[in-house]
Amino acid sequence: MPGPPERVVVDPATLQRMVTAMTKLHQKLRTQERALAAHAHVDAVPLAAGAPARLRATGTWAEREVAALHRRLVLAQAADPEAPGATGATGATATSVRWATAGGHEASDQTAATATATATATATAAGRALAERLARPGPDHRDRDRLTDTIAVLDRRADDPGFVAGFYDRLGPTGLAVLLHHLFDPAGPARARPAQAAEVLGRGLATYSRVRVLSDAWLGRFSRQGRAGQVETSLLGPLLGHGQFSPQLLERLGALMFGTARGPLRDVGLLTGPRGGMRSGPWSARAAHREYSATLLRAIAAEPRLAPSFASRHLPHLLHASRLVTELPKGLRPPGDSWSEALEPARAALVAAAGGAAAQRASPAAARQFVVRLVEMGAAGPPGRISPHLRAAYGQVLHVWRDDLHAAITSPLPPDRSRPDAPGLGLAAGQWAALLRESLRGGASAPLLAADAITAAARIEEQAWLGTGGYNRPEAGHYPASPRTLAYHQANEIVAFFGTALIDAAEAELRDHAAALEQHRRRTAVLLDILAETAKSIDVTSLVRTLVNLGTGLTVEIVEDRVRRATATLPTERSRAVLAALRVGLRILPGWQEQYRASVTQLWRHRGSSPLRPVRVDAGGGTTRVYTGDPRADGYVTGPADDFLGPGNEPIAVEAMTPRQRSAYGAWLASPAIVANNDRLPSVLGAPPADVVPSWGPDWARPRSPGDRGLE
Amino acid sequence: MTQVTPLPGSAPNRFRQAVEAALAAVVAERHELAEAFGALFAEADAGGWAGPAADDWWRGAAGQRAAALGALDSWADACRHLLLSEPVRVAHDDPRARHPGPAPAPRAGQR
Repeated sequence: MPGPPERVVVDPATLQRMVTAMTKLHQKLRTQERALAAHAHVDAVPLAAGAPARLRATGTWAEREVAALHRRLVLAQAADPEAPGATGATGATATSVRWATAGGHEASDQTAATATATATATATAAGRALAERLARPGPDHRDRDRLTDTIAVLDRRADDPGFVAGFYDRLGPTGLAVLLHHLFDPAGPARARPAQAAEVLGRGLATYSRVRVLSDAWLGRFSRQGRAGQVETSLLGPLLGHGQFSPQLLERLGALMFGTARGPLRDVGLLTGPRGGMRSGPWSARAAHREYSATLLRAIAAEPRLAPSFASRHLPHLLHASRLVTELPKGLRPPGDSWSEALEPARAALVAAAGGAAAQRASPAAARQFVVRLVEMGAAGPPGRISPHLRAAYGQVLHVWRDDLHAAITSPLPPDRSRPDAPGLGLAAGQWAALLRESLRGGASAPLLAADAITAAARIEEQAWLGTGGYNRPEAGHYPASPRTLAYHQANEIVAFFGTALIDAAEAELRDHAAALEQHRRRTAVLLDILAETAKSIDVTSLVRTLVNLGTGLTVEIVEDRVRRATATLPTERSRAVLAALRVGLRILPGWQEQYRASVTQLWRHRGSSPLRPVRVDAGGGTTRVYTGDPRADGYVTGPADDFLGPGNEPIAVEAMTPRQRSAYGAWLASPAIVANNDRLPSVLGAPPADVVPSWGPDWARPRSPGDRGLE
Repeated sequence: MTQVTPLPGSAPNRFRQAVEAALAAVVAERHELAEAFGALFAEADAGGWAGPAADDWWRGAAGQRAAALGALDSWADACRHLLLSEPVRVAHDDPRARHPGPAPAPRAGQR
């Protein structure tokens, strides 16, 4: 029963800040749930029986309140569209004071739910009415004012699902296509369109795409004539850059653009013809579709949950298009904008995003799968030059996945192909090298990747020093090798791996263009210059100095600019000499992993006759730790699940090990006592590297690698 | 694992280490949660929203805050209570020496 009226104060700006605070609280509760779940049961002792459930309940409450407060905010803005606080245009906070009856009490959940449903229905009706007004103008409304009003109202409510649903439902796909053509065709009737029209309609359509499923039926009618199955996608071009569209819609549009979609739908861009509105003007159907395609690819790239899976599916197309752009003249390329040269930066941006840090966080499995596919296709793909943009994108992917790249180089175990989430992604170092070479040939990513390699090498050494502090104290006696030898070798491997790729890239560049056009000779000279600069900057004695030397801010545009400004006679002798010296200094040890494992097995087999000397190291905090070399006593084997010793107490074949056995085996192989007692190390790992500097050695130190051809 | 210590024949109490880690995590999380609630209430009390619905909301939210922080407090108390009775080191054959130890931190992506 209705009570007396009560005073109600609602300030949209305050509500907006409360929505933000509540959203943050909700996120906090969700991360907290994950962070504390692991601690909730310490073995069989339940620490806090009710606490996790209680936190979950609070999380559910916060999630509900985010929606409820948002609804309240939208209602407040709708009730007071004139209030500046509602649009936030002036920044002033206008407080609306209304009188409500106690019937408006939203105390219990029951009434709140009813009120929410009612509010949604009201919002939908309001949206419908707005579209109605747009579609059926009154007699005295001028066209431009009508559009301006519509955009202004929609601007305030573009994030209100109910309102947006009503508006776009009433408009329908055909109506929307007509409106967009009217607004955005420069040769069309609306020569002066309301400001922000693209942004507002885009935000609204983005919300709509998440409220409604924009199925094939909807897309099939998205054309001005309503011709079944012909999608006038170009009309969406101005909109896609605004708001967050549903991944399903973006994926569908992408498949239509690449021509891989099944079904009756066809991407016709912009229909031309008798009533197609193609008059003279800067707006051409081709340019519009190209613009749309680039925006679509960038929208997909900005969606980290979609980018990896989408790019994986279309990877052959992306790589092939890049080769055609670089190698074929315009007239010989296949028709269709998905192959066009103008789209190359957008295609490369998609590749970089699919293997980028955001995708790695948002959908780790799909991102891993994409990188594995990219490395495999980069290693085994058909030969051919790819564009500098794609090379830079490769570099960004390698930078994000550098831990896996370096794990593939340094692990003493063979790649574990059965498990794509293993360190190194189950890929061989040689496969990674192919991608690295391709990337380095663009030049732009060389300094960044060099910095990665040097940092990783320095980190491995630092870890080794931390883990074996004080092993050579006076009373310790003599060991066959330092327990840090393996780490030194691994650090050296990373630097050598990178340096080899650098030289291979330079040689490939020289081979390709030995007798090429002047343009190509200029490019080669600039690239050699960059690669040599990178090589010279590497100063392994000082990580800081190296990072300062390497100008890691090199981009495709800077490289292209240097190519343009270079003269054909840019001398390359000095660059060649630096790279040749680097080649000499690198020690490549193919297959060291297998030899190293065999040497450890021998060491372990003979422990009866030549016992392993324990290694005692400072474990920090004044304690010491003794490594005996026995995987059980040293804590590498903790139970049957990770026991990698088989019959005869010897390691079983690494291919037959389970993931847990593998990781225990790997840790044991690198443990201080095993490394320090291995007197075979000098022969297995080459001369024990006292330094990891590729030490610009004398002629006799030339590598044994059969691929060594020299630069000259 | 062999440790050289003044007390031979003993091993670290891994169970105690696990409880210590849990206590540290709970205390840190309680602090952050209290701040998040504080920010929310600062907005709610600023006077931009008043009326019966606002009052109801305030009461509900205050109840949620008390319950959530209280749950974390009792959790922390349980940890402290356990620590009182746990020795730092135990005998090698004690099951607590073989306890898996502190829970690993949740994986926060690639470095």
